Order: sequence, then C-alpha cells, then structure tokens
Amino acid sequence: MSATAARAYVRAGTAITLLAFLALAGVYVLALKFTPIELRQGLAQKIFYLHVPAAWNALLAFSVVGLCGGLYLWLNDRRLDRLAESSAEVGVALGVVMLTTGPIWARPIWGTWWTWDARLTLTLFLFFLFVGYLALRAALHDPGERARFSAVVGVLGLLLVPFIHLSVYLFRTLHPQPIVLKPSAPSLPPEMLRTLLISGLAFLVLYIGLVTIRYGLALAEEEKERRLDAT
Amino acid sequence: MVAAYVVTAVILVGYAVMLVRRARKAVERAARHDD
Repeated sequence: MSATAARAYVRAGTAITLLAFLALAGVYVLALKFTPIELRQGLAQKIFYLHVPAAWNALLAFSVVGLCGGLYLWLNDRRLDRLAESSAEVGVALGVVMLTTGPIWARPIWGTWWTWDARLTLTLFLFFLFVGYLALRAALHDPGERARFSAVVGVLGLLLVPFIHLSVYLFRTLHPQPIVLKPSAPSLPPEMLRTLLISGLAFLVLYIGLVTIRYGLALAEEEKERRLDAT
Repeated sequence: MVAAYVVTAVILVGYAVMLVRRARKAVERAARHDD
C-alpha cells in the first residue's frame, strides 16, 4: 500500500517539477531577452531574478520545516515529520543556489565575493543549521527519536527566519534593502517586477514538485525501515 | 551574469535528477516487498 502511495507522490512530483523547469526556462528567456538592463549595475543585476526567488523559497522551505516540527511535537503525526524532512532537503538545495548566485553578483558590484555582514552571515548560519538538521536525521535510527530531535532543530531554525528578513533594518549592512516584501509599494519598474514575480512563482512550483518527490521517497524509506524492524 | 544562470541550472537540474533516481529506486524496493 505505501509503495503505491510513494509511487503516486513520485509521479505527481516529477510532473510538477517538469512543469516548473519549463516555466524556469521561460524565466531565463524573459529575464535575458525581454527585461531591460538596469542602468547602474548593468547585466549583473539580472542575477537578481534567480537569487531573490531562490532566497524567498529557501526561507519558505526552512519555515515549513519549523512549522511542521512544532506541529509534530504537538500532534505526533508522521506525515508532518515527512514533510519537514522533505522541505529541509529542498531548502538546502535552494540555499546552495542562493549562496552561489549572491557572491557572483557581489563580485562586480561590491568588489568582493563575500563580506561578513549581518544578512549574509545569518543566512549562512541558517544554511549550516539545516545541513546539520539533515546530518542529525541521518545519524539517528529510531524513527520517533529522529522526528522529535529534528523537530526541535527545525523550530530553532524557524526563529532565525524573521530575524534574517529584518537584519537589513536592525544592522548596518551592505546587502540591499527589501524591494518587494516591505510595508510600502515595491520599488522596481513594472517590467522588472513582472519578471521577478514570475520567477518567484516558477521557483515556488519547483519547490512544491521537489518536495512531493522527496515525500514519496520518505514514504518508501519508511517502508524499508518497517521491514527491517519486522525481521 | 552568465555564470550565475549556468550554475543555477546545473544545481537545480542535477538535484532534481538525483532525487528522482533515488525515489524511483526506493519505490521499486518497496514495491518488490509488497509483491
């Protein structure tokens, strides 16, 4: 039964992921061919159409891990633990995109690949925290213990997320201020805002597709663990 | 700029392919047990 359900999740997730990659190919064309070049930053500004959506969705993924972790501690529902595990792994993949495209943009604009400013440092720590989350899960063999301990780490990670968003207001930082997720109207020309929002949506669909596949994998692995326990 | 677009595609496509392979293998193993 669980193999059938796992297969259904993997198939549905693969279809959603393929759709997301098609949308992302469209975003590449839209960003590179049909979106104007920013006057001060030039072509380097176009990195922003990948870096920002990757960052939004990585933070969404880590928030889902924390929320599912908190709910798991309350409700003790295995589905929440599976969703948290899946979201953490996809969040780490999106985090790698965020942490590689950022320095590629920073090099021509700031004159350095990296600087230890508050936003960058906190984001790097959050990334390491979720790499640690995955390592912790791999190290624990008892499913109940693994779910409980990792839920606590996930909740701690969630506490960092709003702090990272507000870090550009709380500290003197080189990182640009928010241009969309802020109280006032977005400070971008309409063509650039359109490309950014379409890219954000394509990354969101990709996140959903990858998490669905990963959820199917978690179900299939649980079946294997159950079999090992029975023997 | 081109490097960022290439790196993003490599990371995302690479991860997706690896994930689908892992998932299919795990599902096949689980299905064999069901049979």
